Amino acid sequence: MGYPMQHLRTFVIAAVLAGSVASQVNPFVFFPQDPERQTVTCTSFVGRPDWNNAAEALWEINDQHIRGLGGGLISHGVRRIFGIYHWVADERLSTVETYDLVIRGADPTGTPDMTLAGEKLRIPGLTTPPSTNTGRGTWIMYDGFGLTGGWQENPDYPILFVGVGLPANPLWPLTDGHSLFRADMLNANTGALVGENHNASATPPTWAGTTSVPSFRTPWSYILGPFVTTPNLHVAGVDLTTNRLGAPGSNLGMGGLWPDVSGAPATGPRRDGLNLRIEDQLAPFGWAFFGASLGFIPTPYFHGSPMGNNLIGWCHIGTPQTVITLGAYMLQNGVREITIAMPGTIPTALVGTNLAFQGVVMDPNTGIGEWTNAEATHF
Amino acid sequence: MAREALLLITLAALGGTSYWLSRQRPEKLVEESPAVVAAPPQETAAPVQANVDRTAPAPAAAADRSRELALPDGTFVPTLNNATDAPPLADYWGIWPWSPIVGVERSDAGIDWYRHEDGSYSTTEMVWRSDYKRFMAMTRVGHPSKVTAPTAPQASR
Repeated sequence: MGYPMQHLRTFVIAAVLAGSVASQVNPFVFFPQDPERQTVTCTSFVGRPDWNNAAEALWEINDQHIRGLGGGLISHGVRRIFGIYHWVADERLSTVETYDLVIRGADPTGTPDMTLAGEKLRIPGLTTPPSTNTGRGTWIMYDGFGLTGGWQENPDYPILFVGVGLPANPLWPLTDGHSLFRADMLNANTGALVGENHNASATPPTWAGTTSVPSFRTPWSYILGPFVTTPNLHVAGVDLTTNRLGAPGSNLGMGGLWPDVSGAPATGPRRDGLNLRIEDQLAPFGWAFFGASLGFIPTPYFHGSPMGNNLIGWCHIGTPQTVITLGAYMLQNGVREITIAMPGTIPTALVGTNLAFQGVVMDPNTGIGEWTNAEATHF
Repeated sequence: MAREALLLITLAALGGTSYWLSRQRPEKLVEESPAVVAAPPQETAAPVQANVDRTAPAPAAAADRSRELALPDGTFVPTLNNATDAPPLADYWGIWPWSPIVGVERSDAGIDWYRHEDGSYSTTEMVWRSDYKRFMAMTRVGHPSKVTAPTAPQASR
């Protein structure tokens, strides 16, 4: 399966950076912190989707929230996934853990389709590396399909689930077993001191995919996500009234998708600020262009401006006449985060309003640019 | 409509202010926490001696490399576990500094892994791909994290 333009970007970058570690994929992780570039301090607990029962830990990619992730070269709707990234918390490193990689569609109700037809991809029986350490530990797992082995969908599904399947393990969590790093929602009722931070309209972003009982939502995010060639864009919430991150910073997960600007006394009062963050290891010193609009446009728009025909992907936030340009900045070591609104500046009258953000990363070495994913924010 | 108009004006003002501020002072990097780095290997067993056939980077018209794994430093090593056409290791090494291979170890699951100097492991495997209807190679990497995993919650959820 050939995608010459997209591969052009990766191959040219590989040539430019020959001899160095030049990753050609980005892990997209919906979690409060960037596990690749920040010290993770916001993990509430390690956890499995359904305690020690067999279940799939699934992150829901819903086009009400995120669009264009991993896709959009030939036509809108082509999404390609080049592997799955996740952190394995292992209670006993010396025993190998087994897991599956899973990509699933949704049934008509929007829940994971656990039928064989709903199973878009399953790679069973992968295992963790060897170790003689009998203690607890963490593996950061990069499970890659390669650029010529990407899983693809066309047309795209409005809802897609990506994750890992875990076998039942009665030894977990006492003496052994594989679990994931998770950040609990405020209303998870688990006593978590750190974790996700969001407004009252937020819905859980992950699921326990099971066949023994109906699949159910899980009120936390995971360090888990697909490898894509598109640059990552995260909307990030800034809440100075809490220590839910465990460290200063912005919340790249639910805090950006569902920031609290209600100013309600019961919550602080909170009037979160908003940041945007672009990450891209394919052009770690590229130019990042940020834009916004009043929600996603119904039909994505393909246009060459400002980089002529060397622009890969589709715009989900509007035409050149309607996009609100928020600035251009240079990535530093694959990341740039900019402030859109300081805490306390977003009017409470905007509660209930939706915005959408998207960006472009242009590699100055190749002259090739690519659209990031687009992400909404629901005030 | 009034709300949308207010929103547009607010966004434009915020965006303009942000851009104006960025022009008034040198661009400042967002402060990032220290990068996650690999912990020293904790294993106590003697490392298995590598039996790795390192080769120089191939010329343009290279020989068949289908059973070799391209490393980030431009060299090649044999693929493991009878894999063919494995994705280059650089694609899945992440943003960690490159660490040379120091040995090969077989896990209890019967999978051979390259062990790297910093305690990372990498391997290649053939897996059945129902979407392509054939076996295809994966390249896999496991980096040890120095982040201490929190415990599981008390309640079983």
